[in-house]
Amino acid sequence: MSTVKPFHLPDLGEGLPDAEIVEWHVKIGDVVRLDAPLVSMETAKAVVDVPSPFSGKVLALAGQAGDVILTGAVLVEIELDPNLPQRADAQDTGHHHGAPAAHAAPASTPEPAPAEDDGDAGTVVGAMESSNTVRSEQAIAIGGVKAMPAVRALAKKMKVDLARVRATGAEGVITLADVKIAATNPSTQSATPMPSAPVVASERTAAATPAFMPPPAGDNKDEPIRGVRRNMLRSMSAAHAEVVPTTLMDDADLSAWAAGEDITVRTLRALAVAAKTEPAMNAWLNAKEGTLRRHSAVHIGVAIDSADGLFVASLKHCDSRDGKTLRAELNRLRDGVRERSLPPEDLSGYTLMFSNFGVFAGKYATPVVVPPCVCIVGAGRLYHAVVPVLGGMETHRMMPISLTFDHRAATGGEAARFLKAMIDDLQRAR
Amino acid sequence: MAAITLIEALTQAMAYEIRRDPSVLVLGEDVGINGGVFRATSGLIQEFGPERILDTPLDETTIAGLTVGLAAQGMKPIAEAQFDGFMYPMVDHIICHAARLRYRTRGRMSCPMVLRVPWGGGIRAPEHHSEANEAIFTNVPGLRVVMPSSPQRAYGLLLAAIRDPDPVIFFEPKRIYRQYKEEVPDDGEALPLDVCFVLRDGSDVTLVTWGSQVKETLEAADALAKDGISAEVIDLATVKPLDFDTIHESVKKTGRCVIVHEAPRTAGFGAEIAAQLAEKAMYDLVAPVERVTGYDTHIPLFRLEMKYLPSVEKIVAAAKRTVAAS
Repeated sequence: MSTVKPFHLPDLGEGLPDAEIVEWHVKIGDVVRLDAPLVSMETAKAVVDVPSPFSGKVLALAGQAGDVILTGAVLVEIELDPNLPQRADAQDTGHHHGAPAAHAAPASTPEPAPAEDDGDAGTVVGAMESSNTVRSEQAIAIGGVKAMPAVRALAKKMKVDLARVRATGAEGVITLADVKIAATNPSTQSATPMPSAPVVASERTAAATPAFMPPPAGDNKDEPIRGVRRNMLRSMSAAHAEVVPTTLMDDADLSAWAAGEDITVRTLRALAVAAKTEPAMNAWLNAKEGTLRRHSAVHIGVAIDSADGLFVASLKHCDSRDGKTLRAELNRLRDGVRERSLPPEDLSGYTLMFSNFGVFAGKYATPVVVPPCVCIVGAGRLYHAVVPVLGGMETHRMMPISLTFDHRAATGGEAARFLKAMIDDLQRAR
Repeated sequence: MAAITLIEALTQAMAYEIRRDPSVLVLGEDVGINGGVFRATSGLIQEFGPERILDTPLDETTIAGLTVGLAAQGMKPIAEAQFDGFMYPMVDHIICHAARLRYRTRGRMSCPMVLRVPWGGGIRAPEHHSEANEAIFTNVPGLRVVMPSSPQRAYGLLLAAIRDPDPVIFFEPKRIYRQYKEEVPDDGEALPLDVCFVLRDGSDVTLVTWGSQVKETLEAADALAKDGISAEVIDLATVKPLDFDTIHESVKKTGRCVIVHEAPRTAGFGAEIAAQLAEKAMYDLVAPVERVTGYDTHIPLFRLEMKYLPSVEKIVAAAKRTVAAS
């Protein structure tokens, strides 16, 4: 029994409509072998040798040198030779143009792979191996524990020891759901933590096996962060993620001061004066809405350190208080922080921030602006500097000032003018 | 539940996630009207419209740039590179930006994109259409490189890749796109990234592979079993970051390891696995590590293509050499 197969001219480039015969390498009656050259074709791109997709006798050729053959038209007809190698069906070159080409189906192939139902080869180039064979993965048993590969992978990922998981699947197979349930139960956690294991809760650590355990927890164990410190964790993280901070540093020369000036009160006054001079720094930014609220009053948030953590107390109306009432109000806030007795309104509503870190140590810093405020000023440790005066030298007391502003809300010019106004006020005799 | 091919599983995963998450969209050449060169996005534009399924110009650089930009601004784009060999114009955006956004901004920004890449040889395609180039990307910090080897893993790993907040190069072994079918429930259940899948339990030799070579490797394990050699088969699934732990556990048991991959041998990802075996599993090994790989040349055109790729015979021979060694 003989089978005659037509071979349709494949698309020799990508989307080429036709090609021209340059030279035949076979003539009618020749026996051509699979993959041996049939013909040289010239396309718009190149001369391409077209190999034979079948082994067998050449019965017909589509034309002669110089003829143009349309892509998808019959190029040759070959009578298959059953004694020579043929391409397995799955290796069909797959170029289907016009009517899908018939598949060569050697008798030895038990189940010819069907083409796609709609004749779509599933690719624009080459040939896609395609079959309707259905496969499924089997649960594998390791050490008596049966689970699908995906379940094993999930257990690995979730650090669940499969040997301790209760199996609910058919024939004792552990399911994905079993692993997820087990992951919420500490007793099923894998005994050997992976190097990237996250921090585990302390009670879980105690329950795990001792082989690779860190040293006993003792005093070094992790403790939850609570209360004011938790608030600091949150607000500082948010500020770091959001604000575009820029810091300016300069010194105010305090040589004009009379003895006994209240340094903090003078600094607060200077801040209020600067805020009046440059209102853009005494403002709240609403980045989400894209709005800036300049405040007419100056409420200064004063950072107050305590054993419980960092508090920012709101010293209201600094712009309209004299030094004496400023000091009284500051003392009230400090006492309130120490006693934890301040009502919420004393801890909010400030329009500008101030840190007096220099009372301990540190000359300059990059203080953190906490939204919605756009500016924070830090006063560093006072020191004596040698300054040139009228061609000579004098020793003056200096206040180092660090100003951080949110550059989304204010310009460098506004910040510098604010700092200048503040220094000018600090340098006044009284 | 009807059994579906790997390519249909990818379509199913994308459709599920586009439906579920309004920030997911698909872009690439011919992914819309045409349904993709391999039909991975077939039917998506009909269901979700041209705002979610974007037909781009024939310009890989633009596709990659758009994708990085979309991801940086909060979308979850799934871009398609038609073929592995067409990735190279995308490399600048992928390596210089996608991979570094998190690092560069100290974690303020991430790049939640997926680049789907039909990968590897074996479909009798012309040059640039058959490359196994995963090792180029595994050497880039900040990129996750994932390669499924079955319809179920294609579905579950693609879902995980889309949901991951960082860039994923999702290589799809195109040779097995339609090779067989498997039942894949459309339940939106992602599979875990960054862990290997142990497909076969064995005690004599560990066969490690990924992508389309999983089929040949499983067949090699079957052939070895007939000769009384028990082979464990590990599918990396996530190539980078590598779950070396699973490989090490297996090698502790078997003492032998054969790494199978399609890419050229020198500095292929198998070299990394072999290096880690040397570093961490030296005293567990009883035989030299074997690699069955492509050759150090470009993958040839179709007549020689299957000779280039690792075959069942080559894998069996390598495994037997490790068994003969001790």
